[in-house]
Amino acid sequence: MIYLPHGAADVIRWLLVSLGVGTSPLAATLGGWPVYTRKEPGSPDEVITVYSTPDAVASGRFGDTVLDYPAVQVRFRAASEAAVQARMALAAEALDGVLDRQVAVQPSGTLYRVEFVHRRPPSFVGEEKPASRRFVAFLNAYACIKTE
Amino acid sequence: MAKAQHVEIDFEKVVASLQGKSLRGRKRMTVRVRFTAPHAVYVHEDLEANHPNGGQAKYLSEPASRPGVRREMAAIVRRSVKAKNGLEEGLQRAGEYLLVRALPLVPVDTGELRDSGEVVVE
Repeated sequence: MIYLPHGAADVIRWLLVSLGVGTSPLAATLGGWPVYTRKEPGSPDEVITVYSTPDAVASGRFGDTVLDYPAVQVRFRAASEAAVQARMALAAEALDGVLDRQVAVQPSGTLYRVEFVHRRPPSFVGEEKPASRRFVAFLNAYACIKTE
Repeated sequence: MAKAQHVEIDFEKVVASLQGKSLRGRKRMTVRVRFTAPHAVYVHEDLEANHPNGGQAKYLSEPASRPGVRREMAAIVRRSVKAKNGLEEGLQRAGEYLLVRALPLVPVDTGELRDSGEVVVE
């Protein structure tokens, strides 16, 4: 397995920010849907969290370029089911339209190229467990990511 | 003889499937390894959960995506067909091979989720 300098979850996080699906958690004032990786924060209610998952497709090195087809999960959380559904639909449409898109991972500004994102059907939309007043949805995908 | 293994995670269950066809391609069948407990999908997908008794999220898709497991499942089907034990038996054994590798990864609370794992050839 060959790893990208940044994890796939980081690249997809900044892809979602650049697509306008979420906002940067590094911004001075949090608003919209901040996008995190690895660990979902307890607040605010409306957040997106991207995880690398262990069911990657393949990866390899071609000359100086690292090509990776990692699997990721995008998790949406909000106080209402409708909000979760709407944000996931927005993300799904945006990810489906990705084709050879440059992404800068912050704060370093390291550039990657996301060739495409292959999205799988949404797997769950419902109440957060253990029971809370919030709702979650899971979207699984794998992406073709290259170093620039 | 065996192709297109993939994992589907829908709103109700977690399923890994492998298609197979007979030597002459006349017969096509599919084996599905699935977990049908009501909370199977949530546990499979919830990467935030802690599992104090062991186990993990992606308990089926992770072993199903291992190249070695995929190769061996295809080989089990191939060997069964060549030995004239039949496509159905080969697929059944290939499914059991995957299930055995998934079970240790299934988080255990009451055991209901682990016990809901099954292999179905159709």
